[in-house]
Amino acid sequence: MEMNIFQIIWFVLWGVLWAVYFMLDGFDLGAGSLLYILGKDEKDRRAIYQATGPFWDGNEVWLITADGATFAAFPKAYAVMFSALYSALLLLLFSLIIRGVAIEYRNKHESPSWRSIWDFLFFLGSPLPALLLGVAFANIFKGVAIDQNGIFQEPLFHLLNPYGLLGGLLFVFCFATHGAIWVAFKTMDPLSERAGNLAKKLWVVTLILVVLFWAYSFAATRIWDNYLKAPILFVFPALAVIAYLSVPVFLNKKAYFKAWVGSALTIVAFTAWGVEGLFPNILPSSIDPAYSLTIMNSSSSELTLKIMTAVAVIFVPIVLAYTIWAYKIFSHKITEKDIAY
Amino acid sequence: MLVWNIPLPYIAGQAGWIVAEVGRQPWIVYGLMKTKDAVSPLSSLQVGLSLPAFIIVYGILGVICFWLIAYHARKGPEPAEATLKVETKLA
Repeated sequence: MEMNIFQIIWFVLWGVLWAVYFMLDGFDLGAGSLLYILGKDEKDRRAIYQATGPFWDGNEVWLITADGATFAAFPKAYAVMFSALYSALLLLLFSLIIRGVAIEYRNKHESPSWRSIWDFLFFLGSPLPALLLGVAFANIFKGVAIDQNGIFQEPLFHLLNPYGLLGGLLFVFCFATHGAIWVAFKTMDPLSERAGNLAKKLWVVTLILVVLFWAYSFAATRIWDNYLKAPILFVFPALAVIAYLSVPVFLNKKAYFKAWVGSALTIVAFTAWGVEGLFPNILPSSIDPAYSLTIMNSSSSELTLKIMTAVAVIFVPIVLAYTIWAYKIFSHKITEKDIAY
Repeated sequence: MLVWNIPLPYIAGQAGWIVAEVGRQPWIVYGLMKTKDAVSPLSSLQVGLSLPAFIIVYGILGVICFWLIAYHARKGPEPAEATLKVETKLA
């Protein structure tokens, strides 16, 4: 089957949407995972909520857009993916729902016991999406047991294989690091300094997990094949490494925003590594490569993709513009005055 | 008297959706695809667990939401002096 340029464009855009989603929601999922570790008292916890408050909803929109793009551009892959990963994705959905409600309802009632229930649910609902997304994507990289009809052939718990679990752990720690850096950036001392120190420790764990994951990917997936065929592509993992090594340098200087940018770039480059490694598959089959869902056999018609491209060219810049605007408005540090109110 | 009208739009909305979804059967895409042809290849365990889970999660959230709204309605608005204090803080 011939590949047309729009399929390639939308494959790239699909990767971009996931990369931006991980870069953005990563920090608020990560900050939530650290709610109890960093938030020693009510004041600290309020600061953490405020650090992520104005952003989390807009961040999650990128998840919806990534899913939506999968549906609209590659509907067959969407159908098979969401059936094969059904349990993981529903669990993801429920944890995101509960987390969102926790953020909104937490301060609607003055009683401390009300707040601690919602704090707990927010805390539970933060690393869980990270874990599930990591498990999901690791399994996508590895290949899922789909037959020629796209029917998933394995029992559910097969998603929790060692490679999948490693991917899940990697996402949890990567986002936790990303979140800790963000909290350090947005809050005042002593919370800021505590967050920065924790970020340094989490960074080490994440680094080990990335190395392990990349090594395991040689054995468990065909991702590195594309790189060995076209070595110029090594620029993606190289960028991830350089960006990630810059993080502790900035953390030691307490240049938290620069550290966060380094972490964000790492996440984007890592996602690019994965997506580029998948090309031209979207959902490889572990039963037989011929059964894989590729951008050729699972995309919408060329007309659909053309219309989508026209719409995206107009609206994605608008979304980017208001996202940057929102971040600029809320770029100040959270002070005592903000928390008291 | 007017308070008793509050549930009416919700009931109307739900009734409308029921008409639309029941009325479209057996088509999922009218004239092109039947609902039974659009079913995903999921095990009955997956659907059997996820459907009640949806109902329970949304049900609990609905009850909490209703309770919260009723709580704030009963509590009433903040006294005028408190609002004034907030406005001067922002100024």
